[in-house]
Amino acid sequence: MADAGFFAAVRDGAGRSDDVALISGKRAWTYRELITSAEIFAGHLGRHPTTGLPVVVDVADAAVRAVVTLAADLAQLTVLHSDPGAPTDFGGLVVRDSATLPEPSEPPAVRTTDGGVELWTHTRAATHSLAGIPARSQIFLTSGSTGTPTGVVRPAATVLTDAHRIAAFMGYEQGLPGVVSTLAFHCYGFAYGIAAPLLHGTPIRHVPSRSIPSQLARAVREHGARTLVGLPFQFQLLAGTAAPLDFGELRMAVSSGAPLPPAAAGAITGRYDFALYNAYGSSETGALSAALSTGEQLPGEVGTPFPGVVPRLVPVDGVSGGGELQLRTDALAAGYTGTDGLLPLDFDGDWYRTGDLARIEDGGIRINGRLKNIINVAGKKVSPAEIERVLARHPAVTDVQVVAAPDDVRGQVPAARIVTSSGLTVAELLAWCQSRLAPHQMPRRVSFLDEIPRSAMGKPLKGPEPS
Amino acid sequence: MISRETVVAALVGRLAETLPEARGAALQETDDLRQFAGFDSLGILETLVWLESEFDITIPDEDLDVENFQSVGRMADFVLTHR
Repeated sequence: MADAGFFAAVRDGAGRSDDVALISGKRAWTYRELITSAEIFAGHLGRHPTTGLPVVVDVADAAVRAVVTLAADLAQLTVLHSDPGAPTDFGGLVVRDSATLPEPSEPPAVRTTDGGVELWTHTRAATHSLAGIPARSQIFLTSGSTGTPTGVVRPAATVLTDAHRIAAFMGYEQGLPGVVSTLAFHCYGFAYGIAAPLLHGTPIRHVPSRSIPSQLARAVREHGARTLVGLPFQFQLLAGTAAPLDFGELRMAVSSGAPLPPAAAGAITGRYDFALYNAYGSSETGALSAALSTGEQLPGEVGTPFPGVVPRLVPVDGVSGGGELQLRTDALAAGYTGTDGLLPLDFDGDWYRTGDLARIEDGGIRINGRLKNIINVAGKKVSPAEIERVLARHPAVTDVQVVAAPDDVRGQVPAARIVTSSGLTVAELLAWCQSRLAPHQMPRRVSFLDEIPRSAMGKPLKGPEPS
Repeated sequence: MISRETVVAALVGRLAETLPEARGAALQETDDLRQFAGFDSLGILETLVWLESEFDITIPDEDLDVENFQSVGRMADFVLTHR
């Protein structure tokens, strides 16, 4: 049914009224409680002038985020998911829970306590036009490659398609519990932790995204969880714990948001029985694929595409082998938010351009780098990821980042930032590279750092290049 | 019963290992660790994982307010109250 929105899909989904749907904080929510609270809050939304404005969900609690999103869908409104830790100035009807209320309370806030959920709302003037954006869309903010937040518009049908795809991959089914420790305002966090489980009756316990491995293990044991979704840094910490932890009946763990280093994956699979997956996707495309991570796969392997995702490679001038990964998927976003309305995604004909450089080997996708991150060395294009892979294989290198550094003669040169476990010298590093890289690929500047700066998601932050 | 001095000394040793900038400085237990570039919220979580095994403490379930761990003294207090 093309018209079925999120609310109807959850109400008519696999979860029974008195089944536990979500556990967040100290509260377990049944489907009946979620649906009833959403209906009450939808009535509240209906009494407010929201024409042309999205509902900005600035709440910290994952279950309350589900309630507000369900309510907005029922009221035929568009939702914008906001990070309560870094509030957006995006205009709209801003909804907060007690954890995100500013001090002193920001008037004119409206407090609603019906349905067991306490919410405050106030209207902030429009900053973007919703022209061209289908009603009941969900907008996810993504930092993109420039660092400026952009709203990715996902119509209700694509949210549902993505959620069903993820549920099939995770084996989400009625009554089979899971634990999720990720960011519910991100596209994948919402899909893995709220949309997919609510459609399939999987009781999910949400734990804070800053949970450390012992906290995750305890939540998994207490909840009898079979699945765990976490962030890459959590699996990196898990790989380094002094003694193995007890994960009870866990059968599957998924790291999502950024690549998981093979060394960490190897350490985990050597100690634990559960299967560890590295998931690949984006806010624009939804979930695309996942690779079983054993530590033995090649860096950048992200697995075979999920059913319904069709990939192709388009050769890129100056890049040998592979090409730009382009996709067709029925979970594709409608576009980006703009001040004057919906802006288009980047297409090549009717193929979505991911901007990722990849190879496809035996049906599996292997990401080599980003199209936009190519370093132009005197007209020769160099992939930083390719250099990073060579440097990362050096036994004394524990982390690496390659960025473009300006050069008077060549325009740009590769500059390497290295984290080493021993007293590695620049000369030793360059000797390692000489037999493995072409001359134009050689790092021309090397600096040793204590750690590569990363975002909360585990993605490297591109700071100023080493001088 | 482990003494507070023992915990503080262990933490100072550990932070000197993980924060090279802290090596030269005589780290005081009230020093704000945010002055060191390498010390961020993930650094705090890493230190907590280390404290768990080093002092056999149990980190409770609630959301960790990492702002509470920005000095050696505060971390030591946390260890002593969670043993």
